[in-house]
Amino acid sequence: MTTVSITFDLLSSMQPRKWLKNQNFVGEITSLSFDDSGELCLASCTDDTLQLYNCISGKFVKSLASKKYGAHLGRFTHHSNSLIHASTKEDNTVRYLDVVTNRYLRYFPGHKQTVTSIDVSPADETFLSASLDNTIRLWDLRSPNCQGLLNVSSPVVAAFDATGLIFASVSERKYKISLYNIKSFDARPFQDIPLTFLPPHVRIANVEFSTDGKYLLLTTGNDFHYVIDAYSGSELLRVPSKVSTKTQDGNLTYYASACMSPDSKFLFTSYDNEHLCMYQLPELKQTVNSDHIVNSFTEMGLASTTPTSNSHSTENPLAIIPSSTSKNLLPETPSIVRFNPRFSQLVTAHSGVIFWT
Amino acid sequence: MDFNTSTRSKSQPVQRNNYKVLYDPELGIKENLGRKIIYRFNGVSKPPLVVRDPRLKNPIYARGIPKSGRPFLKSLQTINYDYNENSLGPEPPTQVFVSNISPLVTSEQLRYHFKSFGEVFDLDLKLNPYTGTSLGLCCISFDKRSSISVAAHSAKIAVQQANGLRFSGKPLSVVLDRDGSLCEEAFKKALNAVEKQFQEETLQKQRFEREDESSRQKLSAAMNEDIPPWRQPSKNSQTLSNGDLQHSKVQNVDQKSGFLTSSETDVPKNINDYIYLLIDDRFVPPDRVYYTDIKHHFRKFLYEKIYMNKDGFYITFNNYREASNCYRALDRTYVQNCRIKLKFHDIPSRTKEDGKKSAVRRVVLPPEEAYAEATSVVLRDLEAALLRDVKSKIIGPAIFKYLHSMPKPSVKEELQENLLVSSTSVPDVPLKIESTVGKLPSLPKFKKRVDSSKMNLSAGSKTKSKLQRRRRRRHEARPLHYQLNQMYNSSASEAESDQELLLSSGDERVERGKIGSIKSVKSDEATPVFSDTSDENDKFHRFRTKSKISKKKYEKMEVDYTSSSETESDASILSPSAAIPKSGSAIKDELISPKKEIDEVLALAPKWRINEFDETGSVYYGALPYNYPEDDVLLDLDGLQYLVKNDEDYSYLQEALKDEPLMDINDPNFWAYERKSCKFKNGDVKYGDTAILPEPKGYFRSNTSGSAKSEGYYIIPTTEKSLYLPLRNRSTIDTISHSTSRITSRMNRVNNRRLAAGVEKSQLPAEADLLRFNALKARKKQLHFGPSRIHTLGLFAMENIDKNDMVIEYIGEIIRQRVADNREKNYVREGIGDSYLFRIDEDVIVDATKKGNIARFINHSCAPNCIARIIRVEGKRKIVIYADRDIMHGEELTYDYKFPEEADKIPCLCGAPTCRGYLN
Repeated sequence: MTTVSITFDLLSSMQPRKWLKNQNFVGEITSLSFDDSGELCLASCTDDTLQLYNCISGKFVKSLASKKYGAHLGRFTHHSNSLIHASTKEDNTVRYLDVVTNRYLRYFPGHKQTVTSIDVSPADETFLSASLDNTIRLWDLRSPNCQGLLNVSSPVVAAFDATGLIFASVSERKYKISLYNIKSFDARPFQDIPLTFLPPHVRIANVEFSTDGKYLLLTTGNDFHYVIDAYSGSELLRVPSKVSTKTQDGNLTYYASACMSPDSKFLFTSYDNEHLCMYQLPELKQTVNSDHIVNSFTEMGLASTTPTSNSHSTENPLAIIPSSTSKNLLPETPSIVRFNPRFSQLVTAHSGVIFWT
Repeated sequence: MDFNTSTRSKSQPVQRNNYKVLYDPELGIKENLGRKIIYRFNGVSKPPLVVRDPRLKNPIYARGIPKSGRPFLKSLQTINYDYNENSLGPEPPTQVFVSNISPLVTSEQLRYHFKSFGEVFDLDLKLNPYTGTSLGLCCISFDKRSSISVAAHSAKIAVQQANGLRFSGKPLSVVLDRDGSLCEEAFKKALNAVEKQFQEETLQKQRFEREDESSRQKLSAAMNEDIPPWRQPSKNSQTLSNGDLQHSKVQNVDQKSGFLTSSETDVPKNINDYIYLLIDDRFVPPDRVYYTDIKHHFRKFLYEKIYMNKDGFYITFNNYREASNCYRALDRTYVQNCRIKLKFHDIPSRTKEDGKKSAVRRVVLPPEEAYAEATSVVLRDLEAALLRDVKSKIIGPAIFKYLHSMPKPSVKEELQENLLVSSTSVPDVPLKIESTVGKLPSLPKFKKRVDSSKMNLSAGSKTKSKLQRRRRRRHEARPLHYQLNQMYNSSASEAESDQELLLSSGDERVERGKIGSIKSVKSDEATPVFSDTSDENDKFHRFRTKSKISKKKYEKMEVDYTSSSETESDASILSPSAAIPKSGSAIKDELISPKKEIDEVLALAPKWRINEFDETGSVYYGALPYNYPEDDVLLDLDGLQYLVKNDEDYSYLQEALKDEPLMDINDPNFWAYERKSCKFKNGDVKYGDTAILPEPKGYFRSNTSGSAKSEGYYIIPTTEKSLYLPLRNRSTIDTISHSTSRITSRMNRVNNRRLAAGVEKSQLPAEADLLRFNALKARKKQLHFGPSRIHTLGLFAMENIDKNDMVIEYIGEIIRQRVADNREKNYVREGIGDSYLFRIDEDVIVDATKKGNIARFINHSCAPNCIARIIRVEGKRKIVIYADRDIMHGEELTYDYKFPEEADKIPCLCGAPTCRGYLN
């Protein structure tokens, strides 16, 4: 294993290498999560199992069945031997599972309806859970008590930034992103970003901060994904979404079908069953006066158009990977695209997991 | 559910209120805050909550948390997956295509080389389908059954390391070849090239033939009528109707190829200026013999060029010698089943023309070069002669010998045949002897031979001069190796004459080699090289004078050579010192007696001569220092053959064996062969050698039955054992009494006693005590301690000790039994395993462990040479060791410890034959 700097060449030369089609389950993968080391990958499946994969060896590790409660939104805690996941059956309690013994360490009860997003704080042992019951709850893994409650307009998704200092919640109905300080979220958000560019009846699938905190990626179940300036709230990029969100269960269409690279320069979305699209994130130039943010879009060689906040134009992909059409088609259009936080590896998933390197 | 927790708190949060837990006892109890959760609702707190963007005041915000699950990274680690069934995309290449391989490299060599990179699954070295030679292309696939990635890695390494590597002189070119397509492509290309070449070659061949023919036709068209029928011009298609298919084929090909290079084979006008061989056209029908055939036929000779015209083929030479050689070799040989007759054409007036070089195209070499060439030719011939000799004399007999050493069911018949024909391995004469031992048949063979020689002798007087000449040549042939050596040493001017001599004698050598055994060759080879030519000449001179004296002798010798050379060769290995003394005048007398014939022959052998000549050059026939060689000879078949040299010997042998009962041996020859091969296989002697009894070295025990194995069980005396077991305890050695030491020892004792008695008489008690003590001390022998075979250290005598002599007093602390018990325990605890306690009586024990003398080193033996006695000296009991027998210098002193019997056994290592096994 060698360390290479993230370049366009590196990312555009990625090829699908492994297809771990799991014979054990018949459902679809609804979420992917990496542990802190980037070595393990956790896939939550609709057949009430959690699948563990080793990203380095490219092998299936373990299947954790949660037949009683169902499995959704599995997330690693900072310890790769334990994970939390939301339930789909019985109640909507978030459960804290030990991987080695396959026993639950703790339940985090509180949500009345389906949990739509779970995000573990990168800084400490807390995590956020958003639910269709119009609440966002803050939890601490060490305590069964709910550490905080936030009433928002539903339905909602929430996500921490890379530092764990703030979190964003996106409310579908209000068309806005609210940014909260973790210390004072109970009072009011310190910033509200109106999402005026969003089409009506949009289904927000996921929201996530880039690793440098400058971008917000808004993944929707509709036609486009959006990249928003995390400071100014202006729309920077609009990329077409090719994922069909139709599943047998309408509630679970929250697929993170786009992701950003760890250097916060590139965006990947699924394109078709053979290819991924790679986009370049527009560079931001932040002035000293942070209130006034000037977006200067550098003309990239391959970026044909310069999206502005008002243009609503979609940018052409920087590259479609793999560039060479290989003979063996990928089996399916990936519904989830995630970038490994430590390795130059993309993981896409639909019914199986595909490792790209 | 979360209301359960909130119900506990007093201020129950309203469901719609936002709240944040400020203090959760679950996360760590603080005593001052109690066990209750502290909430903050809607951000209401005592100091008003300032809501602000934490990003703005944080300069390192954009860096994130590097060790968290979502770090901001500019570089990533790469992952390389092993290829397995889950992998997508094509397999990594596990094959390599190797090209530019030397055609000499075999697939095994390649495989061996590429094995160093990984397990080679398949190696396909492409071969030329026409010739079976390597095309220099190879496809190597590594074994991917266990792991594809390993195989791929091997292939990668192979490309990295083997590419450009020089293998048999050519740098290999190694590239990855995923599906072997590269290799296939290259192979096809090479195949095409080969095919093309092949076609071209055939075309060219046909063209040549065509040219030959057409050129001939061209000439013959203008020429005469007496052309043989196959010589008729066949350019028009009508002539093809005669059904000569091959001819027509050639014709067609010729038409296709079109042109002619007739100038190459056209006979030059000045052909008469060449030395050439002419193959007449009558012998080489053009439809059967082509230019290339002739070329091939003459390939071994250094011809200059081959021309042809209607007369036939002209093979020109630069060199008269080569031409004549060629003529001799190839005249009346067959080319394509056609017997060719060569006509040798020399340059007219060749002898004169040497001067007129310009007129002749023939290259005339300058004298130096000519000389060099001449010498090279001479040397070559010599080499050939030598090779021939080696083949016939060494290799041939060796093969025969090898064949004979293999026992076969049909060996009897073969053997007899061989014996009759060549008798290389089994000498004739001794065989006869053996058979006479059994059956007492008629005279031995050499007797017969003598008869024949007698006949020769009687008849030989007429052809005296002739025989003499032959004898001379024999004589020259005999010391061939001298001549050879001399030839190489002699100057170049002599070389030629010497060579002639050698060549003439070489034939004889071959003749002789046929009947000669290895031994004779060996004896010849063993003759030393004489660098001193004067000595050599002298010797030759002497030899000749001697040979003049004994002319008849040579006649016999000749007979001897032709009939059987074994005796001679046998005799020639006789040791020089075993010369049979005879006087010079006796020679003539003895010449008449045929019995001495062989001895005479022996006298002529080179070795003998060397030994018989002293510094002055006169023959020394006096009595040489004589030791009987028979003493050293093992009396087996070979030995007898060696010893029995003439009739006299034989008659003595018969006499000696008269009393022996007759043995039933079916075929004496086969019996002898069996015996000899058996001896040979035992490996102690060379085949046919007479065994010299080995000198007994070191310990030697003669077994009456002939073999130690057949002796059965018997006891080797300990004294004898110690001869070959150097570490053996020598305590039981047989002493040779040294009277002097005994006397002195006794004398000492007597003197001491006398002295003591004298002192006693003087009535001085104190002095007497001293003297007594001294008496014991004075009588102590010279001893020293050293490593012992029995146990760690031992005490050794440094002088010869007589029986009953006092050796040493055992000295130590005198302690009581209880003290001894205590001490023993302590010693064991301290790790002193050896016991130096000597019991005098019930309660008195001498402890020499810490304080004492060297007597404590004396070891125990079950067959001791000393004995410990407790004697009273002045009322005190002392332990004194006495010699139980005579003890030699250097022998270890031992006595019987006489330990009481115990359950805890101490093993005894004394090694005595009567050892009890334990000390106690």
